[in-house]
Amino acid sequence: MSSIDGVLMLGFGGPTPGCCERRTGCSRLPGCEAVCFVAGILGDNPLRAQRVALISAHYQELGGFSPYNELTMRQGHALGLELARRGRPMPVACGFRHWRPWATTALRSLHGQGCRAVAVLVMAPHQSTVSWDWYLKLAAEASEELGAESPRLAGVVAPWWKEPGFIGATIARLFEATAGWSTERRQAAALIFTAHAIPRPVEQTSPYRSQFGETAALAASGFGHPEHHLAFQSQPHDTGIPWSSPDIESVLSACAARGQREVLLCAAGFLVDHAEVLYDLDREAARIAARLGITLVRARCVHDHPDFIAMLAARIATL
Amino acid sequence: MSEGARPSGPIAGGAADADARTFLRALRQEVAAHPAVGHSLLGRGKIDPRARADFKIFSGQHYALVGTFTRYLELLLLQAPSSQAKIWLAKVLIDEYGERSSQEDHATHYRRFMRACGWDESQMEQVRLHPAVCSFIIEHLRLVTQRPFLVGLGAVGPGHEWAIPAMFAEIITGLKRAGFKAEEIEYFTLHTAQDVDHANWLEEALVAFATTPAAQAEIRLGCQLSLAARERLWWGIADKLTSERMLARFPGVQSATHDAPGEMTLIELRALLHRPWDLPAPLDAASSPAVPARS
Repeated sequence: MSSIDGVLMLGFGGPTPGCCERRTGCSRLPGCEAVCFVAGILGDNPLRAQRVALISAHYQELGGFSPYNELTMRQGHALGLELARRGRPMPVACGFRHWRPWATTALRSLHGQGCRAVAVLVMAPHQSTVSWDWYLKLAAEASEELGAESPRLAGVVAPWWKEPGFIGATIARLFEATAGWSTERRQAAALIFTAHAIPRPVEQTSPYRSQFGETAALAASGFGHPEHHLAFQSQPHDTGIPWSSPDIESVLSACAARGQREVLLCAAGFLVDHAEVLYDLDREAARIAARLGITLVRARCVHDHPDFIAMLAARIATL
Repeated sequence: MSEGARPSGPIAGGAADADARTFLRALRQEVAAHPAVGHSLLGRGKIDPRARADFKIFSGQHYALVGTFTRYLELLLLQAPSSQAKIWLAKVLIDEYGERSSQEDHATHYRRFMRACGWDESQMEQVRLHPAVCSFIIEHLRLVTQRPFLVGLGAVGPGHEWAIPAMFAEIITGLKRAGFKAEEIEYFTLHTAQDVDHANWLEEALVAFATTPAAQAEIRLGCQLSLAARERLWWGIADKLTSERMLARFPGVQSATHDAPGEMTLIELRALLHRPWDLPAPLDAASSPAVPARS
């Protein structure tokens, strides 16, 4: 029997009401959460103030906050239940990279619950240093900071971009989004999978693009769709270098040029419907689609789909 | 200079001078707002704890740039169309050789910083450099040898001297947070002060050249290409830093990175500095805006 007695679930995080208790120089004015959150990602640098203001305005349009943390915690809760159902009850704690609860808080909580050897679970389906490696580095730094108050990081849940549980949950979401459609209508719609764009120098050294491509191909095949497209989203507009391409706008334009009038969108690079999905796809991409005369239908992300959660639990059991 | 704008050389004041100064003011703002200058790797130093071990990875990659800047200037000096044009380059070069730094050149200062990061002298040139680091150096060799003089000047001038003080200010914040002592980070503090001087000398030199729309376009292009290479560079260094620090803590865990084509050691890269006519193809040609080549 494995010595693992807890799970540290690591995610990106999103702003929630209340001070982040991290950023110096915060205005403490209403709406400061989104500004502090974005400044923490882009760098708290006056030279990027314009970009910080632009992105935090997206959050303000969504009400000032992100549902990311709550949705990820729901995944954590579901994972705890599934582990218990499998006879391996253990605490699952979420720690985020850019918002409370921080990874240190999550580790301290696990330690307080008696955990001494925890599994590290990265909540990102595709590997690059801006996600996968960074989360693991973050976990190690948090553990080093806590010293004796931290459980040992006893194992890392292996990547799962092509695991049947993740693919099956993605396929289920595609069927859910097209419930009531005829087979002909499903097949006539263009199927686009999206993932967050990453800078080319990072993409060049990582399997990010190929893993995303594999996820999409497997999900499209399971959905019975004859053709699918990859698109990258949420790239900054002020960059001087290429990021992953093609972007969503050019893929939508190509669909329109081919005469396709209905697009089924699947944000397979994300696990929950948070700001990048709710703003960049449901608002920005939808505006582009409307201009092109395209109807956009988006499948939900996997969230706490039972197949996905069962796959995570099974992988933890192998540690 | 069969193609590209002909540098007009020093001119008297008047309308052209005013126009040049307006152009330079706008270019300075463009540099300050560029995402390379405000890159998250630097800006996060204020809020993201960084350890000496993080800066060890950072310095292993960044060191490659330190010894090569003088080579860009030396090569560009050969292309300079007039003695007047050579003056600014020569002044900066003398500074870079160490005239105002107790006769120690910048590479010597940087190695002191690297030792403080934990490097052994014998390891410094053996580091595998991220493709974006190699690409930065190759791109600049190309700019100063294969492009019109003003494109090269835009790269080593505004692209470097106007950008570095702002970028280094952020790095210094992170270094202090990591507990480095003042004498260990002298490279950054001295360099920042000297680059403010270089930037002022540069401003005067550029006023003489930036007198026509074509000349201004070439200077701006060189600056943009240099900053784009810099933005790639910071991402590359961040990539190395994250993966190596992760692997140090989780040996045996699969990293997201792998050795990519284009990695070299500094020793391999140095060979290119001495035969810049034999540069490899750009690693990421799509990222480079079209620019007239020298025939």
